[in-house]
Amino acid sequence: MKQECVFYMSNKTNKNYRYRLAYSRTGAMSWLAHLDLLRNFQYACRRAKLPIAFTKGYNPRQIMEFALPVGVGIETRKDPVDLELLEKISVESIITKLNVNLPNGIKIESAKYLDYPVKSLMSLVEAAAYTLKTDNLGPATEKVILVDSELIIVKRKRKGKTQEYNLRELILKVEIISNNEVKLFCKAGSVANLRPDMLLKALYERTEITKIAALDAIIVRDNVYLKNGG
Amino acid sequence: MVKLEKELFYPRHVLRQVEKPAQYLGQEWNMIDKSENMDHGQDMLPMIRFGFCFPDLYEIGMSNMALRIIYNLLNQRADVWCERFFSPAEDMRGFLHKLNIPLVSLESKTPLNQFDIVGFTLQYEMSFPTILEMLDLGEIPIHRTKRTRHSPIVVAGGPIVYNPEPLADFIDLFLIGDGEELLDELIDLYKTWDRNKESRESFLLRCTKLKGVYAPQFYEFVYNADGTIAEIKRTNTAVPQIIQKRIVKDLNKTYFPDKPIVPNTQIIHDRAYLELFRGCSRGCRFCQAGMVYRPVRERSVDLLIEQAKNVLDSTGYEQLGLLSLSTGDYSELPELGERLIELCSEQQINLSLPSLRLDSFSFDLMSKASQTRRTGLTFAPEAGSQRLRDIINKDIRETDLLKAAKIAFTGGWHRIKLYFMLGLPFENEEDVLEIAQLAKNVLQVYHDLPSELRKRRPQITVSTSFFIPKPWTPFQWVRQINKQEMEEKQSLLAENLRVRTLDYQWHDYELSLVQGIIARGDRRVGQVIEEVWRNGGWLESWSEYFSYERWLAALEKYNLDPDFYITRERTEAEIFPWDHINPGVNKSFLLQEYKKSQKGQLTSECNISCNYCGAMQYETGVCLLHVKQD
Repeated sequence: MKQECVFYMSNKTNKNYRYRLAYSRTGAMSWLAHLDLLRNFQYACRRAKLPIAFTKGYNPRQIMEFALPVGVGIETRKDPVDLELLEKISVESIITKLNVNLPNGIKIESAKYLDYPVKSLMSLVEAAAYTLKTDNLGPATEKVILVDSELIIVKRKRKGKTQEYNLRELILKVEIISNNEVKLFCKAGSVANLRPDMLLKALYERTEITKIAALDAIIVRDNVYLKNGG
Repeated sequence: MVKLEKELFYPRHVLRQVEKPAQYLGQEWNMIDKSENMDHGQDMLPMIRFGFCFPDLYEIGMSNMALRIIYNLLNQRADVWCERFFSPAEDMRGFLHKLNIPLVSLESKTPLNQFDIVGFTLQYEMSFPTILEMLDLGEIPIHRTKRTRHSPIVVAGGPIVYNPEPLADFIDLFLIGDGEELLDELIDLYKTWDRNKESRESFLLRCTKLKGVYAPQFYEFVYNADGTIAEIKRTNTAVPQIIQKRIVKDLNKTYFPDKPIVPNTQIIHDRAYLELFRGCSRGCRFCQAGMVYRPVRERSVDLLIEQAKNVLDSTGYEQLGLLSLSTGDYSELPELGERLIELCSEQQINLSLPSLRLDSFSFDLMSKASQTRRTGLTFAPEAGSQRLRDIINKDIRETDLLKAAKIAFTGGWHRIKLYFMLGLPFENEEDVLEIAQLAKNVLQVYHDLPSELRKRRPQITVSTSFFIPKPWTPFQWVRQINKQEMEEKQSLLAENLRVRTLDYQWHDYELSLVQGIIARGDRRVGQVIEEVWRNGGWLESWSEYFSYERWLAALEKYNLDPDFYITRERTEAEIFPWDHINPGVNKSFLLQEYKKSQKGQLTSECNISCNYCGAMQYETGVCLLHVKQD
């Protein structure tokens, strides 16, 4: 006979304490899928013995919310993630405890306590900043985005359907840093979101950059911007 | 060769084009990195590099208990660094070939051929072609005879090592039995080997002095005209005639991994595990594990609770599983159950309770463990009729099962899975029909309940697999049914299970046939495995990669008749390819059990009375009960 069962404790206090953390990920950790990253955070919270708050109901889950899912192969520098605890503890203690319990390559860079917590961190996201690096990226980006003025339509298959995106509508600003480095500011969030790999696809389809060079790019999400400064 | 990333090893464009790239990158929580102990030059002691290979994908291999134990056990030694290797998935394999990148370890990204000892775990027959693929990707000659002075020593062990012959051409040393102590001794011996002064053969010969080591190169098979074995001959009298299984005598004193690796990508059983005991006292006649893991050796409740705490603390897992052949048989289950439930509710941990008995105590425990959710229950009567259950020595009565079903339905469980085997020895049409009848009787139990207890529609699933006779079981002599019989039995059952609330799931019969060939295969089957691999076969346990035709063609090429291995009934006097291995139980005991099965006689569990199987030679575990009494 096999039987799976679940335990959960009711949250006796009515109030949870919400914290907003900023995390970076580098190296091997930037190749985790978003759900795997989430699991890593949850395990780390347990190892750190933080007083985790759970959702109520039949399937209690740890209350944790990421601002913006991160794609496989993208590093982050200070991506926001919210966490709810049953007790109020110092942000320094949260940072220290989590950092000794997170795998190498994931790090909490900062944390703050939210006096007026808003649920749905995702809905606050407005824009994101990325740094992209690969050979000859500078000139290629300049040509496609700054010189040409036509629409940049990229097709992407999702759940069996092909969707079309006009990247130009999603890009807010581009800075050419050098021959192989570009900084990109773009719309982000649930309404309109630019995926940097879509831009790279547009570049290798339209310029001399090879597909391999484009796929070899280092992609770093430097920042995620929230409404009212988050 | 392409430019490799320093930190990631693989080029980014490769990682961006494969599925789940994190499976190739390591760096998981609790991974052991000894690279710093390696880089300090001459004043450091040489580090023995051990490559633990699981011949399947990361998501399968990382749940394996042997890996968790061996990895952490070996890495406890300051002079050993054990690293992991898995089979790449098809997309990654394509890139490795295209870019000429060898198979490397997850920890230090070192190629397989640079390791001192390479160890494969043998968990299921269909993984054998993958072993060849991994050796080849790791640039190690697949044939042991082609390996040079500088090649790694290739070893293999695990639950199905008790018939090593199908792999005898590819493996230098088989390690028979529990690996914990034997691996330690092997590594100590390895350190005495100077590759520049002593030949590989001479070293391998020295290894056979360790109890439990089988070096196939020192044994030869002589065949009769009919293809059966005439003699198993030693080519060197220094090696043992019979290779005795090694066991860990006291599970309370042996190593248990408190800090298992927490995978970065989702794996099949992503949870913490406790090993309650090794062995099984039941003696089901079809079950190889029940025979070769004797005698039953238990861990104490106190130790298990301590281990549970430590593993949960070090991993952060939200789920705890119990791992043993028949968990419900643990002698102190009430106490263990109570204390685990307490621990788990404190820490909000899911506890899964597998393979419990059909008694009311088990339901009590499950009800306590599961206040809120009632998920599926699995019962394994294995055979539909009492006659056949007596033949296989599976001591479950239909009345017990129906009683259990009633408790389950009233307790709120509405999903029940019934597991059976088709093609058991002496099975007739009646027995197959009784499977359907039993399922219908379980359903009837539900309909007989008062209406207030019938809130949810029941879901009853009948699941069948085909019986495969395994070496070192009382059924090692019997014929396995052929493809046509499999089809007939399966469709007979399916026709009789056409009821709306009954669901029928079955196994692929072609896979069962090939598994049967390898399971009781001899040394000649090695060429077939190699041929299948040369024709593109690997990951053969995955139905999308398996090709029955490829196996048939390979058998034909080497003039081997599948029916010789599958459907042929063996005579009592036949010498088996595995007769030079001894897992503790004697062939004479197995034969006696086979004869009892023909008469439908049951054999008692060994914690009730000793049946003199041979395991008492180890003087431990459940056998001590009887030693004291006798």
